[in-house]
Amino acid sequence: MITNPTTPDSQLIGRLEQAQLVAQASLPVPRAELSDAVRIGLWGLRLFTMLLAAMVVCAFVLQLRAG
Amino acid sequence: MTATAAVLAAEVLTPEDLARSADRERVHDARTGRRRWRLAWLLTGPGVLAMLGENDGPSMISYAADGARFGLKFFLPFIIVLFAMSFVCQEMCMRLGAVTHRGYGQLVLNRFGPVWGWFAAGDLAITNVITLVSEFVAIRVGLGFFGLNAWVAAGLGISMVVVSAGGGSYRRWERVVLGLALFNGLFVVAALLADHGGGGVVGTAHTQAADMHTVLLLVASTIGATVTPWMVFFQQSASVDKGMTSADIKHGRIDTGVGALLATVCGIGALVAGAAVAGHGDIDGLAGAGFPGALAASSGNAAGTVFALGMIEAGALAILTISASTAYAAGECVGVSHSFNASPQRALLFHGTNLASALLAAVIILIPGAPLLSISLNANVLATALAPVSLIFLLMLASDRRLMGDWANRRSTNVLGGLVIALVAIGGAAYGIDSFFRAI
Repeated sequence: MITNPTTPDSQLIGRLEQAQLVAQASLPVPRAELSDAVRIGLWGLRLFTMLLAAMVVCAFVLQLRAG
Repeated sequence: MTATAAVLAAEVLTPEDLARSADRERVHDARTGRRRWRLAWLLTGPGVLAMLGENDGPSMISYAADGARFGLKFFLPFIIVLFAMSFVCQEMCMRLGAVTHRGYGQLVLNRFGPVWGWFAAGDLAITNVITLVSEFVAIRVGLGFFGLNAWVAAGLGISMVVVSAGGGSYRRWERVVLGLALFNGLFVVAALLADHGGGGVVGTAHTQAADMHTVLLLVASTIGATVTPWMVFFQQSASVDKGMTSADIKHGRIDTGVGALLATVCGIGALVAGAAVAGHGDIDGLAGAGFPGALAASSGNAAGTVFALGMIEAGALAILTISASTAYAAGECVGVSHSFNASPQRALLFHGTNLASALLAAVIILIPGAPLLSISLNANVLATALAPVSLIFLLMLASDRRLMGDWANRRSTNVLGGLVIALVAIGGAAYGIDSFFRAI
């Protein structure tokens, strides 16, 4: 459960908020619920990134071969 | 004792918690004692370091080369716009860290799944190591002006990583690195010492006749490098490590804004210093390893010396911040301790990654015949190509009301952020595609 960050009654121990304690901050936050449009967009982003990265790696290898 | 306090009291506190609590005690005392300047000083750090870390060795050489080739008319306002764009993104990083108390890598992993989380951390690690190589090269360029070789550059960089991280205190690490960051101002000194041929800075506002393709490529590559993935990881994680809370967001914005302003001024300093070299030789990117010498030839030894020292500082600062960002990402994704407040024994992966990433880059520059120029150029291209991924997730996280509550992005911030991402994506894609077609 995500602690509401704007709750005015946040308790402090020492000068830390509860959510700042290592034991609390290491707890995972829930997975985001993504719409289909966002999922498709992220897949497109994945392809865009892999294509660009591949082009950069190719360019680097070609530059090395060219000496 | 309330029920909540009882629960908190029962929590096992780590040395990291205790160190962070001590830092927060100082902030609390300054805030309640209305010591505004001390409070501002205590909350300065992640923003300034991220922004000045972006003024790394290759960036400063690039600004100087732009000044030498094209003068000031276009690039001077351009640098201002770039750092304004950086501010939009880095402010979100700070706010995310202060509100969620979690680093960027951890949030991406949790909210969007392990594939994206590990992809973000993995591509950060690779681009960071490659970028670190160019930072060590920058130090070597600076030291080369004084007749010192690559071994000294490697030793200096590694020893700074070790010394800064020793002590088990984020506050100590931050203050050491901030002290180093102040010397980014050496580029301003170099600009003041540079000889602009009697016409002052205004007199150097000439432009080389350059084809539109060259200028567009320069613009694309510079826009694409406005916000790099390591800056996103670093500032959010450092804000968490520093113990920032939502009460500190106003000061976090000031910290980020001051960082952007300082970086802009120092970047302009390099640009102006470079303009003094115009017509004194061909300076081209990191091949401008002779730049401090060229500046000395045109403007006197003092200018060249100061610029060389600035190169050492720029490279060293970037090594410290980029290594730290890699370490934060590794610890967050694996789910182990990842803080400068933790001792090396308690945060072995964190401290080990911090050192190992710098060590690997240092070893590469010592390999005879290593293609350092090619590595440096492609590091920039890769970072710009991958930046949009980091920025899109940053925008999604900062807009998430479930995560950020009332601190979620306003519509205007989303519009500005979207615009920045679009420009960075277009610039990065143009730069990457052009680099590819030039190579084939």
